[in-house]
Amino acid sequence: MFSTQWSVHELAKRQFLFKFNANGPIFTMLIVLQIISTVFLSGASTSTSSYEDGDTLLSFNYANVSNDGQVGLTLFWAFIVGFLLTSAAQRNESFAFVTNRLTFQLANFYFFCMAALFGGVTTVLLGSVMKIVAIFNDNAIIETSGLFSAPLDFFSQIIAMTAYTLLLMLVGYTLGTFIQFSKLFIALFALIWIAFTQISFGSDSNGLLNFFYGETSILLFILKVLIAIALLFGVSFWVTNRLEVRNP
Amino acid sequence: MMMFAIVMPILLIIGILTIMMVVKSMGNVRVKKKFHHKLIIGYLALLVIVLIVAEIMVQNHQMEPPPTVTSSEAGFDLRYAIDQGAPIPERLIAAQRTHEVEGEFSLPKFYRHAYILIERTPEESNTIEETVYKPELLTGFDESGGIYYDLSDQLQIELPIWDSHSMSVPKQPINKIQYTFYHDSNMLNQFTGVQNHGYSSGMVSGVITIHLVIPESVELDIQETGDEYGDYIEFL
Amino acid sequence: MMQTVTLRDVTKKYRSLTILDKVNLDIRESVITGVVGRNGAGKTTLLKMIAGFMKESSGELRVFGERPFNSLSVSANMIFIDDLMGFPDSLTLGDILVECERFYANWDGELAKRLLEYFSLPLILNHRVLSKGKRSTFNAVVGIAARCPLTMFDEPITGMDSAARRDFYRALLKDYIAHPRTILLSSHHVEEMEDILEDILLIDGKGIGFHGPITELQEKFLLLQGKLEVLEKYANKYAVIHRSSAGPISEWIVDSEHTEAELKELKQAGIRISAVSASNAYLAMTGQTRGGVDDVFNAMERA
Repeated sequence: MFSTQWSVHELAKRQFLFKFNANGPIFTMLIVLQIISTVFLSGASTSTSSYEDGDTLLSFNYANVSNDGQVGLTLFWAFIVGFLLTSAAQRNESFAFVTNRLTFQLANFYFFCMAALFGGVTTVLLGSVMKIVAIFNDNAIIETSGLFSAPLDFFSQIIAMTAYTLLLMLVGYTLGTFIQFSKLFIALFALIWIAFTQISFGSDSNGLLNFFYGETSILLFILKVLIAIALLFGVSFWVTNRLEVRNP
Repeated sequence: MMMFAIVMPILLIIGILTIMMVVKSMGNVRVKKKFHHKLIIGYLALLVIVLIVAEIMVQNHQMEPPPTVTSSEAGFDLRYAIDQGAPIPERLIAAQRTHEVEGEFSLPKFYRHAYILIERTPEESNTIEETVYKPELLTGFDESGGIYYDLSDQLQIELPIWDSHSMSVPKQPINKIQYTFYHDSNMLNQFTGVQNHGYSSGMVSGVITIHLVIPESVELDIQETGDEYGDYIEFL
Repeated sequence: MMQTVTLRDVTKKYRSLTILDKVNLDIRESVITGVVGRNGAGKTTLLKMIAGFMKESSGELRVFGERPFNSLSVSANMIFIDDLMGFPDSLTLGDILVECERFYANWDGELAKRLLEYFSLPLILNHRVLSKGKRSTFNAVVGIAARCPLTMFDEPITGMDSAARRDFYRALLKDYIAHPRTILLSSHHVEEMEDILEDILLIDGKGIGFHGPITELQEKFLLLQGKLEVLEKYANKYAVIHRSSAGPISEWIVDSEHTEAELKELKQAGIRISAVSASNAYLAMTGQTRGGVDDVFNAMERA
């Protein structure tokens, strides 16, 4: 009866390509943010400390240069991108073409994977920029090994960063999906956030943060992240799957 | 931490609004779809070049990291160790000398550039044993592991000047030390086995400590001036 | 003939508000159907349910034999055009056409380009900078060029000027003749599209008011013209749906339930009998002819 039949996989792929073409500004945004943060952070030479005794016989200055700023910014961006892809405009754009809710969700997920990989790779690479900045300073000591001396470390950095970025994207996406479903969830999430901050920071090295950040085995970490992502994906799909689209 | 709980969501909301506005307004600016693709490729290429340049620069840079000490060694309580006769690490000793003095031994006024510990021995002799201890300069790089960089060698000191009946403490040279540490973000180093880098924390004991062992037979002439000069001399 | 869309007792509710109540409907394959009805009658809701954008509350809805909500096959063989159709801000019209090609198997890019050129829509423009009428035109072109087996236009002519509307209907008809497909076209302007419609589907009072060939709708009514006294004398036995007068001649639209003899009698009395236009029939069916909004103000003046 149908003249055209698509497989879910094929269509999800095409929706992803469409999404990638349509969301170029999201990547440009990250690049701009990273460049701004790099210029800003290297100018200010992060976290300078100095000890001085009363007569300024001794002044000791040390600057810590790292890509912490870029890491934080990329994670921030990730959360927002996750949220952004749940917007009504994004949904209407996807449903202007052939899709169902499953392929829509899958295409979003592919897009997140791609964006997370981009975020992860660029953030780790930006470390090199900061390294060069550090070398131009006095008495520079490069504490971390680079790609040549420790290639495995370099790739583990990319994996860790990509995993965190993807995780935050899916957190943002799941929250956004619920909020799109009903604005009442904003209140609920606010309460959860307050509770979370009280528990996580009230007692140190406890709670959810440590579940990921405290993990030292990369395989277990990847497993944990995968489980969390599958969970978030499932929960958000459960909501998306009953969503009525193209409503004004 | 209440700050974090409040500031973070506000930042997020501001961020979401800003990015939404920027993404929206990018639609107005007539940038072609190709522009974004080219930018992404160009940016990645640039970063790879920077990576290679940085690697080469680091290879040629070769600045050895300073020696490290653990927190148990750091902040050595010299005063207590001397008092108790406990062993003192070699790294703290700048000089060990003996001096013959004739008659009265005097300490001319000096200005807070040293901390002098005087120990009297019941010997009949005119030989004073002098041990000069270096000041310590430590900066922490792994707070949780309690590992510090020991930069004490970087501090320049002037040893006391002796003549036959006095010891004077010269004005200590001005030390201006500048260090820059590069380390990758802790978050990235979760699986690399590289130690976490903490911020702040470090310690400095600003002045040299001079430990003098003076026999009872040597008479001392130390001016009690009543100002803080006196605080820098202590009898054990 | 094959049925493209079938509805059996389909109900759509928004919380406690019923929008469509137990609708039964069959839409035949390769027929152009005009979907008409007053504002809020449920035209858009019906179309969006058929498109699979909305979920029916109860009943059985089948498009190409499959439930459209979340059906990939229905989505692949269907296009739904309305003036809220969202395209990404970062894509130009040309980029959007490339994306269409990715998704629609029967996409005719050449036709789309030529039509856009004809409607003077440069490919380098962004969708969001288009005026309302231009945007509707672009969306309509996408709808025509996609050549989906089920093509739905919901108020496609919003904002278009009369020349663009005429051209759109003409283009749609021409492409339909060359590539027959099932088309659902909703609009308030029956008079403009009646030339291309085969069937008409009238949504009224949460259900189907009329569904069938457009001529059948017209045959339900008669237009009587004559002197008021004559009409009142001879035609009072008919259910009069609409009365209007222009000078000495009055016009009545009446339900067409008559015998040949009655018709003869009317003619002999000097009453001119003619068929109503489709749009008048539509207005009559939806009760838009009974006095109208004037009555509200007249009643207020009297009070």
